[in-house]
Amino acid sequence: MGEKCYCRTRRSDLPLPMRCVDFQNAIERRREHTARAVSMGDIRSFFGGGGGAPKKPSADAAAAAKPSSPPAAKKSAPAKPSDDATPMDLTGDDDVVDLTATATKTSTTPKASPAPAKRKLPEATTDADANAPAKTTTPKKPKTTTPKSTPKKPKTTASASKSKKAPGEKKPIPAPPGYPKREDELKFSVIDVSKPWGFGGGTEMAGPPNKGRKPAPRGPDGCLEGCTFVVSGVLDSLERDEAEDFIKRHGGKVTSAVSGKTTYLLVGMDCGKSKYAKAKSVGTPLMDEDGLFAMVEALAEEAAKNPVKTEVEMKPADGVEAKPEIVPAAAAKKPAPSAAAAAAAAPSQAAAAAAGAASRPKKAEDTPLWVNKYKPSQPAQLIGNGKNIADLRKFLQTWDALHGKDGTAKDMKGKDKPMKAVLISGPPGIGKSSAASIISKQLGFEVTEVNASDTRGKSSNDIRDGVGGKSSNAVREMVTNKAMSFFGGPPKKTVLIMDEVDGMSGGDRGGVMELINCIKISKIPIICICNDKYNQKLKSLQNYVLDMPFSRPTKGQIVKRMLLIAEQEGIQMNEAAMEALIETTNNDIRLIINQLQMRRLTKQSFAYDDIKSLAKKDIDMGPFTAVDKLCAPDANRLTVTERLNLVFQDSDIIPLFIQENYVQYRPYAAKNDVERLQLLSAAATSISEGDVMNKSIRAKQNWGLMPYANIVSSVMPASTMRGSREVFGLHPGERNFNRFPSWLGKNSTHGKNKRLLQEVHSHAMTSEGFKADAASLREYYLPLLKLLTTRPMKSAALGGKEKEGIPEAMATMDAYCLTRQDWESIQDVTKLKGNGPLFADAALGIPTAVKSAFTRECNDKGRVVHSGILTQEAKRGRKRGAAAVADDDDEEEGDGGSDGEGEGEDGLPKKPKISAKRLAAIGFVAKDDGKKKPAAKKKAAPKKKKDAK
Amino acid sequence: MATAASKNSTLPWVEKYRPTKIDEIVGNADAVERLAAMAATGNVPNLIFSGPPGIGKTTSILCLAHTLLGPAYKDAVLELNASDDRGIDVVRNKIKMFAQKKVTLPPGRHKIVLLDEADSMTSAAQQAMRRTMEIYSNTTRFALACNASEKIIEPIQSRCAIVRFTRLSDQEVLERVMKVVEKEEVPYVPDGLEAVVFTADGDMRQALNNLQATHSGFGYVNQENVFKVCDQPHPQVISDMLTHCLRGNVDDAYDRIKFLYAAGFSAMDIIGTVYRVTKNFNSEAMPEFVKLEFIREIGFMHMRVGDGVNSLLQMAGLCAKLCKVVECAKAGILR
Repeated sequence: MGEKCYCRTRRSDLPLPMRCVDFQNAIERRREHTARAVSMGDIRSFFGGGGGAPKKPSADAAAAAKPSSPPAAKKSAPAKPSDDATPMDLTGDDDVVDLTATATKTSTTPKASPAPAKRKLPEATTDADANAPAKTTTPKKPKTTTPKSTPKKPKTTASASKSKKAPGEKKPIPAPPGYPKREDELKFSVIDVSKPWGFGGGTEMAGPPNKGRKPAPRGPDGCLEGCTFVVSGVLDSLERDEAEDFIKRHGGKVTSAVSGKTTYLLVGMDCGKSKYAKAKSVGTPLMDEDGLFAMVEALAEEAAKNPVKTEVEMKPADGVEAKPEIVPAAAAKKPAPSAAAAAAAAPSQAAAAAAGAASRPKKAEDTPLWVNKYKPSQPAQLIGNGKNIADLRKFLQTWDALHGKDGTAKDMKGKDKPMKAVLISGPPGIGKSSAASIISKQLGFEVTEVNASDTRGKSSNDIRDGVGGKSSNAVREMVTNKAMSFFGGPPKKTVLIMDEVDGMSGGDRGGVMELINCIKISKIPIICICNDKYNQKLKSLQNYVLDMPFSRPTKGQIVKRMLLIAEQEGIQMNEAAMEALIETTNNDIRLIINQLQMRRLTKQSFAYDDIKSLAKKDIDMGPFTAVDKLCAPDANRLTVTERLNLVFQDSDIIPLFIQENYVQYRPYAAKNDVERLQLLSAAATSISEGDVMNKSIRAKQNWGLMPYANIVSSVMPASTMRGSREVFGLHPGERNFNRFPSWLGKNSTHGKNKRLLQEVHSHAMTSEGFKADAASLREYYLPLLKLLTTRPMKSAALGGKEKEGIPEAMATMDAYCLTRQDWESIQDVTKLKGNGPLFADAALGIPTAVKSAFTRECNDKGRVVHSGILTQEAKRGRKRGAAAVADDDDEEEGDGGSDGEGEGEDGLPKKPKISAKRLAAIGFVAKDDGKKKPAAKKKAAPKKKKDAK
Repeated sequence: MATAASKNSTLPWVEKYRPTKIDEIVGNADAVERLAAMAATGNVPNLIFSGPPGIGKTTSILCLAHTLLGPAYKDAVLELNASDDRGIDVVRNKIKMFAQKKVTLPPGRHKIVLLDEADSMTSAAQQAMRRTMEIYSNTTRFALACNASEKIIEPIQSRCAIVRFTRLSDQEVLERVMKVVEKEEVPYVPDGLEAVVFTADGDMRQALNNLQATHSGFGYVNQENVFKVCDQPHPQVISDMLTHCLRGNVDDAYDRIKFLYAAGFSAMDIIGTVYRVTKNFNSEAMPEFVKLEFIREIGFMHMRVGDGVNSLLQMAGLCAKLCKVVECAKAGILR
């Protein structure tokens, strides 16, 4: 209570930092939406005032409402015991509205939504008046149907779809009187894109103002069937997905884009301009949430009034009427599925009743899995991938002509040469194996299948393996077709199906190689099947097979057949429910059938809501999806634990993703640029603190810190910055998706540069003049060295006599014992990203001819550069020439630390000056070939250094 | 099983009271109902049971298999768990052989391969299993139990109906615990059982184990003894502490921490409990951003304790910092 008062005073007297708003919201939960509405009002007025003439009158209203509303909330609140339940709050809101928008507000039903009324035009009526007949004379609504007609039946659906051809007449189901309303009566607004960029302009930023306040009516199942909705903007009380659920639950369809087939455009605040424009152009009626509710309510009442009638009508009417109507309906594009669904729905009731009695005993005797029961047996029953199936058929049909005894394939060369095998690839459960075996059987092939449950290693020549039945030998024998014509008569046509070739692993040593060999010598067609054709194991196989990627069948392709199965098994299901099921299973036909079978065990219907609660197929989501979810504007709907689990998907990379992308989010919590910067700073702090924790985890093996580190490095910044993503337009064509962490690439470049620098450093250390660490080498020496070794060879300096500069450059290099490779390394290591002469590539101006002359010169036999890296070569060489150098203990000068290391290990005494030949003899000197790691040694280094000086 | 077990008093209660019939299974009513239906019709699809430990996955599978096969259980069930070798060779030989084996069963019954802890099978072994599941589905069905169903490769998931098990509600755990208490004649006070249920967090196995441990250790189940056995700082104390922090009462919060510290809990234990309680704290009382800030502070505390600085002073510092977070939030000051 204390906090509450505290918060309230604070809210009124200063524009609160957003976090604080958050805090208070939660403390006084029931006030939440009021606060949000107020802050949204603030946002609107902020930009409504600044950004030119506000286009929508509603923004004006909001702006006008704004000054009065916070005091109203303040005033009304202390007056009431704030511990009261929701109704009290509603009245509190009513106060706000009364002060701001309409004094004429009459509605007291909980359904009425007072708060957004602020955004209405003052003359806008609330839905209490909505049913007044006066409103039915809107131009938009051709009042043809009456609420009397029974809710959603195939009849109405079909007739509606017929009438659809007449433009403007899109009323498949009876809307309650007064709906759809005239556009200016609806509670909605269109995003004003002409407005300059600003906060609060995003579509999905605000939650529904009346979330949870309005009881959503529950209509009869499938009452919206045949209707297609498009949802746009922020609805009054439903979240977007809630609204979609609501529609689908009642059998309606939700699509994402407005088209001629769309029945209604469900609009809310800030709905998309393009959708709105499109709806106008094709004449799709608009509808707001209240309208939708009213419609469903009306349908529910209707169903309640004459339940018997509907029931009766449903059965005979469907049976009889649906039939003749399907024929014309099927001709029309859209209604075909729904008609089929209706047809399916009708007998299902009877079937369900019968099934209880009839199918149970039958099942007890013969209980195949449905997957097998409904396995396609005809090519026509295969779902989707028509082109691939046709290709496969063609492949099998022409195989003999191409690859048989007198096949024509031998004469073909190059790309045109047909492959002897196919590789079918695609996700599980889409009918790859089915397609392969059905097509083969249909074409009269005898199918032999080898799959991952068989060992498929390399075949062996050992006779015992062959007799003992090593399956690879059997396969090999089979494909070479020796035994086939043994019994005389025409040889049987056979085909080998190699299933799950990506499953060759572990014991299947040499399996893929063996498969390739089989393909080469095969006299029969081979069909390989796999899930992931990009699997590393299958890389070599790719060159010997015809690629045939199967894709997941679309919803539309699956839905019909699945409904048929559901009907046959006595499960009541409508199209929307089936589509939801298909979605949850990720278009995996086999899994759908499995789920149906599970369901049938206990229930005889499968409604939309049941599917929502169904177990989803668990597939690890990638980091992209996880980060999208973390940073989404509505991420606060997930609990902290859920978000933490998202990070745990891959706690190495997700923090990097956040770090890469957090700047791009326009925080939902920020009201202006200053606040945005504050939030950015908070997020950056979190990220850096998370880094500290991560460091502690790795350095001290303190894995218990992991959850904290994940929260601080990912969940906190994401929760601070959550909002809609935007691009700043710095890079043309930049796409508004989360980027892959560039740190990874940069880190790898960093590592490479470091390695190169070490190498250059170790060479330089062998020269006597250089004594510094690698960092100073890079910082103080290399910039100059780069110039000294490139400028002499540039035409600008020498005017066509660049080659004369080579010795000069080489002298510098020799002074530091640098190889040709080091020269490249220097260019790489000192490269900086940027514009201007400082960042230009120093080697750029060197003509190619000079460069190659330079390389030649460097590779010249006489030139040997000292290096201490090649201990390995040294040892090998020493072994080879051990006898020759056994007595040579006068080698090696003690110059250079790194050199000393290699030498010291070998316990060789060190002495200054040694001839290159001698070094070469022990294999210690390699030529500086300018390509490989510097294999070279010094001889002349100290000498030449002197020369250079 | 239970009848044989009840004679044997040394058996862990978890085993002794493991349900043997499907209708004895506690919780997950929907899933169990379906299992009962399967047992009645005999038509079992390939199944994946997934869910956290201790909620009856393995028990359900065993019950189902026993109910379906009865006396033929021995011959018609191949049970493999993570303690068995389940490499690719076993899948190719043992499982495939079993699938091919002919066992006389009543009509409509199938042999069953039970793979417990299937998420620990290598993906190669799972690959080798997929076609076997299909080809021999006329005679053999598979039932897999796992904690993390995403570890099961997608093709196997596609071949199975997935049954998700959820944590048991406290009520469900309590009911079963009460039954056991009655049968074993354990002396108890109600808040002791409450503590047992609380520490179990929906895990029946842990509830029974804790109960048995408390019983054999102290002979009397009350709250104090349970938390002694479980050796956990009492979450209610921590919860009180956090509530005081939310109100800005640093002294009261410190008293709670001091109490725990004096009771001999290590700093790490206390911190761990503070973290868990915070994470699951009622989000109405603790708004999200405060919760995150709290976790951040607790994280740094954890780091320091991990470095060996586990004094009471650090704990006091934590209390103060948590209070500060709340005060800053109220004043609208960003960190």
